[in-house]
Parts: sequence; structure tokens; C-alpha cells
Amino acid sequence: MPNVAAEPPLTRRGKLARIAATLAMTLALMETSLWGTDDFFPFAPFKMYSHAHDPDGWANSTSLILTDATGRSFPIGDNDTGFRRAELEGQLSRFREDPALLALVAEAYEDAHPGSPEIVAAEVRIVHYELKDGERTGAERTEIAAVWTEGPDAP
Amino acid sequence: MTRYVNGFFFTPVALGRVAAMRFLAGLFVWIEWWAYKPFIIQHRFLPEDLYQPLLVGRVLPIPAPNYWIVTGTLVVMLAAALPVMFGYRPRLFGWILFIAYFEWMLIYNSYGKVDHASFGFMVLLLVLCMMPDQARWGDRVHVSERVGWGFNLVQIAVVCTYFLSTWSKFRYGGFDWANSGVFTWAIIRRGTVFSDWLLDFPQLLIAAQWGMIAFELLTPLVLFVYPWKRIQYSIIAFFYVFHVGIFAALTISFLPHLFAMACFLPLERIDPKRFVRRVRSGRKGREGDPKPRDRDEPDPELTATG
Repeated sequence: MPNVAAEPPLTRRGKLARIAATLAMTLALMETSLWGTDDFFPFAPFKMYSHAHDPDGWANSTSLILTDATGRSFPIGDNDTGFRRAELEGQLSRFREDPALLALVAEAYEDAHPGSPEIVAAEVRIVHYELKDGERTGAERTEIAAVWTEGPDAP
Repeated sequence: MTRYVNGFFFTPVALGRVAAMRFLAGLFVWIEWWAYKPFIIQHRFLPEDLYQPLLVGRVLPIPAPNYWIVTGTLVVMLAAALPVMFGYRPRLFGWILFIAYFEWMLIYNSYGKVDHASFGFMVLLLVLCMMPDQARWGDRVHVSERVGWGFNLVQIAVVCTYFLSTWSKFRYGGFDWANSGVFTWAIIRRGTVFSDWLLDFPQLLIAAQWGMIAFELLTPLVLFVYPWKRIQYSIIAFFYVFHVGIFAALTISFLPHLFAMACFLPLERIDPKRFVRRVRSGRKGREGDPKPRDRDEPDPELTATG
């Protein structure tokens, strides 16, 4: 017969308090799922892939492209600067309004890659793929959402 | 009825499971920062202007991350995870781990994107802090209602991650989510060799979207079947298979969620010390045996399911 660990049995009050805690967590999660936002983290709505995408619309893929002093252009991945594609998309409206913010990402890239050539330009490129009945038609359109070039007065 | 409710929240769980879950929790913390989410540590290079503090970050006096805050949080977190894993003062170090991990999650999620796979894992770290210090691997003798309640809380958090994500789909995607092109969109963005061919079969993807809704709405059943352990373990096995499929198709793994979900399983049956002893004595007994048995033969204790 299993022994109860060296602890007194739960009192009725102890049990009710614990059930209340469980219900509180569950209700908080439910409420935030219906009315909350990501801002309430850790009680954020579980909205992974929750947005519907029109099968007859456009699907897009965003990338951040840097150009270094040697003229080489390359897209950067999530681990190059720590600034992920999803984060770029999350803050996209800021970048559209103020493309100079891209200088911050370039700066982060340089800090993370001390040996590489200096970054002189950056752009946010969004490729839109056309969908029809959920299938790609092959038509695509490229949008440059924000461009930044290092100013001529920069060292 | 009262008995069922009481059992739902307070079915005693053996302390061996606490030791195993502490090990897994610390192990995940050690895996996550370099193998699973390496961009979190890269956030140390990001200028403060890109930091978008969350509500907790604004209410509590938490400074904007910089190079040393990010590095320091990582060091504290990894250092605290080790004693937790090996059962040295696991409550004290558990609290340090919980706080450091929470700050790590704020660093993770405060730059314009919040991910949603960690809730169950954070609940796990929290309840582990409150479970007995003297939990040992393989202890099936000592059981505790408090531990049972704690793991039940984690299990509910895990189930909510599925169940409530349907609510979010209805909320953000509308009731037509299941008829939309969301899987096509996901595969275009993150498809693999296992999923790219699906783009040619949009009807199949729509069917899969309906299947996803049905699956997620049914997940709470796994909590309510708790008196029938075999059924419960089979459902959990199915959940793991589901995640293997999602990973193959989209390389999204929800790894912290998978670690938290392990507390459904009877991990108290695993006793590494006994396993080592058995392998050793087995080796001795085989001396002179012309045809030794396969040493890697699985321990029945490890593979038993019910």
C-alpha cells in the first residue's frame, strides 16, 4: 500500500483553496482568449495560426535584406540579429513609418558579427503570392516596405 | 460525483514523478537557449528602441534588456536549473529558476511577437517549486495529493493550450477559419519536403483544418478520463504523434509544451539507478556466456504504458 508522503492530509479548506486556484487560472485563460491581447502575457490568447487566410487572396512572405560595404546583399535569418521575421512583421507599421529604424537592425547585425563588413543598407521585402482556391497561381508581386541607406555623412 | 471531482483534482501522485519532471524541466531549459530558441540570446544585441514591453514589463520595474541583462539572466537560469535537475535543494533553486525563466520569457516575447507554447511549461516550473524537496527517482511508494493537484494544474494548462486556441481561431479567424487558406499560407511560409506537395491538394488542407478544430475541441477529454489510465496514456501518445506530424510539416515543435505534457505519464516508473544496477549485474552474469543478450534491450519499466 503506498505511503502518503510525510505530510498531513489536505484539509477541506486546503482543497477548496486549491480548486479555486485552478479555476482562477482556467477562467483567466478563457477570459483572455475571448477579450485579452498578447500584452497580457503570460495570459495571452493562444492564437497560433488563428488568422483565417482567404483561399482566393494573397499569401505573403517577409524578409529583411542587408547590404554590406562590399556590395553584397543577403537576407538575414532569425538568429543573425535576434530580431525575428515575426518580430519584424509585428513592428512592420513602425518600420513603414520610420524606415530609419532599420539602422537599429543593421547595428544589431554588426554587433553580432564583429568580423563582417559594415552594413550600409537594409530593406524589408515582402513577396506576395497569389492564391486561387488555396493554390498558388504562380503570380507574385514583390513589395519593398521600407528602405534605409546609410547617410553620406556617416563615417 | 464528489468522489470523481475529488479524484479529478487530488488523485495522489508518486514523488518519483516529481524528480523525473524536475530533471526534464531543467533539461529543457538547458536545451532551449542554444538549440531550440537561439534567437533569445541574440536579443542581447538589439537596441532598446526595438523593445516593446508587455504589460508585466511595464507594471513591474523590469529594465529594458541589454547585453548584460540578457547574458546574466541566461547564466542565472542555467545555473539554477542544474540543482533542480539533480534534486539538490530543488525548491529553493526552483524559485530562482522560475523567476529567471520568467524574465527570459519577457526577453523572448517583448520585441513585437508573442509566442504561445510556453504557458504549460511556466506553470510546471511554478508547481515544481512547491513540491516536496525529498522527491527521488523511481519513488512509487510515497504519494501526495498536493503533488497530484500541482500536476493536474499543469495538465489543465496544457489542455487549455489546445482547447482555447480554437476560441482564438474563432475570434481572430472567424467561424470560417476551417474553410480558409491558413494551412496553405503556413506551408508557403514554412513548408518542408513532407508538406510542400500538399499545396497541390487544397481540399485536403481544408479537411485537415476541420480535423484540427475537432481535435482541439475534444482535447479536454484527456482530463476527464483520468480514472482510466490506459485511455489517458493512449490519448497523450496521440498528442505526441500529432506534434511529430506538425513538426514534419511546418518545423514547429511546441517543445516546452511537450515537456510540460510529460507530467501526464507515469514517470515514477523510471529509476535510473536501478536500471544501471540491472545493466551491471546483467553484464556480470553474462561473463563466459558465448552469446550475450542485447545490452540495449529496453527496460520493461521504461516501456510499460499502463
